[in-house]
Amino acid sequence: MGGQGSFVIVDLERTIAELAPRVLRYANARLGDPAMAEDVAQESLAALVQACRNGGAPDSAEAFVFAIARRRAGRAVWRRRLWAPIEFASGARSGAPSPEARAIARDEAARVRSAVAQLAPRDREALLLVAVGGLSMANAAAALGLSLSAVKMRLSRARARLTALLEVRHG
Amino acid sequence: MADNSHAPLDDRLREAFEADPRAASRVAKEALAARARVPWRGRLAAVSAAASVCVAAAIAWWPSGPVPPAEPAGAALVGSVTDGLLVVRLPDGSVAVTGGEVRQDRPDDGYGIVLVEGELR
Repeated sequence: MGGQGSFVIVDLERTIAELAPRVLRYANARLGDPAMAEDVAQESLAALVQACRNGGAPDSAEAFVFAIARRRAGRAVWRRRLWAPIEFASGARSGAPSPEARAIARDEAARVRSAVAQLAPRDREALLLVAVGGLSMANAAAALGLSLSAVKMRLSRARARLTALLEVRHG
Repeated sequence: MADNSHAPLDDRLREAFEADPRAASRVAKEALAARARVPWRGRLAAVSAAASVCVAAAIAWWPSGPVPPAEPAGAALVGSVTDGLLVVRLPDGSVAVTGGEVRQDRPDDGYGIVLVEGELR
């Protein structure tokens, strides 16, 4: 899974099938919107397929896919911020949470999501790549363009903060 | 030795953001079915080649410029002066007469150039 430093592409279909749930989970965590997450995951995996077909298979498929997913998720967040006022004005989004959303908010999952949302963006990014996306430390460092020690530090900080947040909410 | 103390926390995170297996399967299928796209370097090369051809064609065409209408062979006009009038036979067979003094028996608008069809008298 995510523990391997290099990811040799022997069977593209198998690689895509293995990466799809992980990148989808990561995109879902970043965006909180299943439809948007699906788009981001699909585009990222399609980029890997095209790179392989054009003879440019990356050294690490997972680092490649997650680096693209990270960038596209970032763009999607910005797009959503730009569109939010328009959607709100047109009535597509109401300010108050729906009954369904309120019911979901009582879930354990929603508690975790809410706690994750309170992390510093940099720390959250490292945590989502490693814990949710299943990337190795080395590949997370490659995807983030950071040194291994920097990723470890962010990850450690994120886990400590998240644990504290979840304990506070639990108590 | 690896530190697994954070494993329960990571499990909670994965569960919180668990992906729908059907969605994952759909995503994988769509990604594999994605049409192979020409890489941007290939597109750039094609556009550059097309632009080069256009520029070369323009350079080749430019010196020739618009072609002037060819003059018919032997188009040099030949005329003669008779009694102060220049009489010239034009290529289309007509005769142009110009010059001379104002004639009293000719209306004003007829002075200057007179085109005479047929035989000159």
